[in-house]
Amino acid sequence: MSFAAIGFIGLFTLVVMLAIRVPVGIALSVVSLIGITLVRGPAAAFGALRSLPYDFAAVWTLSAIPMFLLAGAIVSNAGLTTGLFRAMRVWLGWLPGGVAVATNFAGAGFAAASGSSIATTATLGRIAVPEMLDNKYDPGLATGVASAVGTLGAVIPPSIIIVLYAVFAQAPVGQVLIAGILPGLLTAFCYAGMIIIRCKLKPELAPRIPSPKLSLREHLQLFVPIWPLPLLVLCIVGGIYSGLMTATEAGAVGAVLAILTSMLQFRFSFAMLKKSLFEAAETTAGLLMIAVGAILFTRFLALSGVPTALSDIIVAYGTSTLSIVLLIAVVYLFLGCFLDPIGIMLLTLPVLLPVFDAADISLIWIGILLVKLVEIGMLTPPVGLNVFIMKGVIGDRVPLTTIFRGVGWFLVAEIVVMTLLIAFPQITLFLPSYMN
Amino acid sequence: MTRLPALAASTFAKLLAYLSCLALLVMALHVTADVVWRALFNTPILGTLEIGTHYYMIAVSFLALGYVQMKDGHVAVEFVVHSMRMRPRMVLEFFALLITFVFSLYYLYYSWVSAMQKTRIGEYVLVHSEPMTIWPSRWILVVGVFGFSFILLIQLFRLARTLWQGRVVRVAELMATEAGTNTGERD
Repeated sequence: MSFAAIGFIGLFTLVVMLAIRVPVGIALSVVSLIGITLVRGPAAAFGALRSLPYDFAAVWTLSAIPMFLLAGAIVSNAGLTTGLFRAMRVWLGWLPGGVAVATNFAGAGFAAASGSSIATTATLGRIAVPEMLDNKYDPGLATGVASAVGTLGAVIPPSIIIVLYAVFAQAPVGQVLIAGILPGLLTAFCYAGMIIIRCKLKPELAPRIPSPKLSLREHLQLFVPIWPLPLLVLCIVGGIYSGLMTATEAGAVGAVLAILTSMLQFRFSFAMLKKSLFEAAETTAGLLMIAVGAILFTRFLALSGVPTALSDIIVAYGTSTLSIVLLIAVVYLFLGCFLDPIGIMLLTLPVLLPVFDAADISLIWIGILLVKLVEIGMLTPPVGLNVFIMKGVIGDRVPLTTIFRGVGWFLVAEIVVMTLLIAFPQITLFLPSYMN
Repeated sequence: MTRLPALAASTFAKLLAYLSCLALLVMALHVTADVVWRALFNTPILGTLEIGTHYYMIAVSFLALGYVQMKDGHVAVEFVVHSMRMRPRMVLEFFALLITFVFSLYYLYYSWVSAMQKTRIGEYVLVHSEPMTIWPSRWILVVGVFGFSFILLIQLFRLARTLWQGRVVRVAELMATEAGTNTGERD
């Protein structure tokens, strides 16, 4: 059997297994083991199964993932983020579409600190969206902003998916994490700009709500419940950026700081700690299952020679960086209809990495673009996970089509952001270029 | 009939999940202590990196596998089966569980082979030219995968029985109670 035929059958089997709800990690592993057996014989396949899972997990860089997850789980379970929306609401409420802008920035902070797109969407759906609806905000705008902003957590550090990317791409993890800061902020500001412009042009989208005049003292009181968040982000980002800490160390210190601040704010309980530990441990085990599948799949594809054949084509035809990025965008948006972000990324990296190498593309820059693309897939129909989470939280108050229509405006903003990021790689590469 | 083995499997999986949580907490504290130590006394705590990667990471990565499976929490593509009626959906899920179970047996066997081999040679790493034993961590992987297989076996059996009896149940509920007695859902 030719390698191409093996590859084709493998792909078909993979799709069938995924469709009947075999877990992504298992489906990848099974296809890879059968594939390696066909290409190189059973000894190679079982040799891979014997050594790869352990060797993959026993890596220092990867241990940033459970640490980031733990820090994020404690931050959200201890309620360290609850004051964020209230404060932003007062500070930004005077703008056109003020509550939506406040939701946008509170959500960006929440997503960055908790690292969970789903938790962010669900929380905003419970606190911010009802308030906007009660104030006669356009339902599409209200649900759209709360669904879209959750995706920012994947780009702004600490980010789980970026650590996974860096491990697989063998890119410097600290630099890729730091590289996400400016694109993340750019996205947040583009979202805010889009909201303000729309509400300025069409004031009936967001009726003005008079905001109270507060004394300096009252402003400071708003800051009291939220001070741990800037501290945590600063500690993690600063620790990595300065080179004083590795990503894992920054995550561990972040988790311990989160526990300590929750104690200082009288929000600590052992039940909260236990819940956070379980969440982080379960997510890590689940992620590692997918990652082990992906590492076996990488081995299979490498042995089948598909990635080298592809990168040879890229080199032979002198394909431009732009056309590669556009092609990836199409493939990712398509895969985003079926798979979760981490699944898409790990499934495609074995094919893409040799291509990036052949086309001499910066692994830091393209990493951020890939993460942005998979996260945009969380917003597009027919799956659009974030939109469904929003629908689940908000219930009958807003129909699904309205939420998708509201999210559409944020996709327009994303096109602007992506164009800027592709046209000006400096936006992504500026901060990491100052690290050693 | 499956109540006792099911209880054993779920208790075992929960125990492993607790151990994994413990490893996670100790890892955060240990690494933080290392950072603080380095900042204060300019000397790292010896072996933090090695214990972190070979013990904590392996425990956190693999011990909770069975617990996650028990809650049907492994990431899977939902949207094909999502709109299906319960019975055909359960038949597909049975095959999915079967594939997963067969894979887990291979996984278990080869982790075992590897662990035996590393135990025999007494695998270690050097920490500042001092040997640190790491072969026991190979057994953490074996135990984790065993917990995973054990849960899958019970789930398979219970799903098959529920199908045979013409009742409906979701995979996440298989370990919760006696299978299918209280779902109340019909297709």
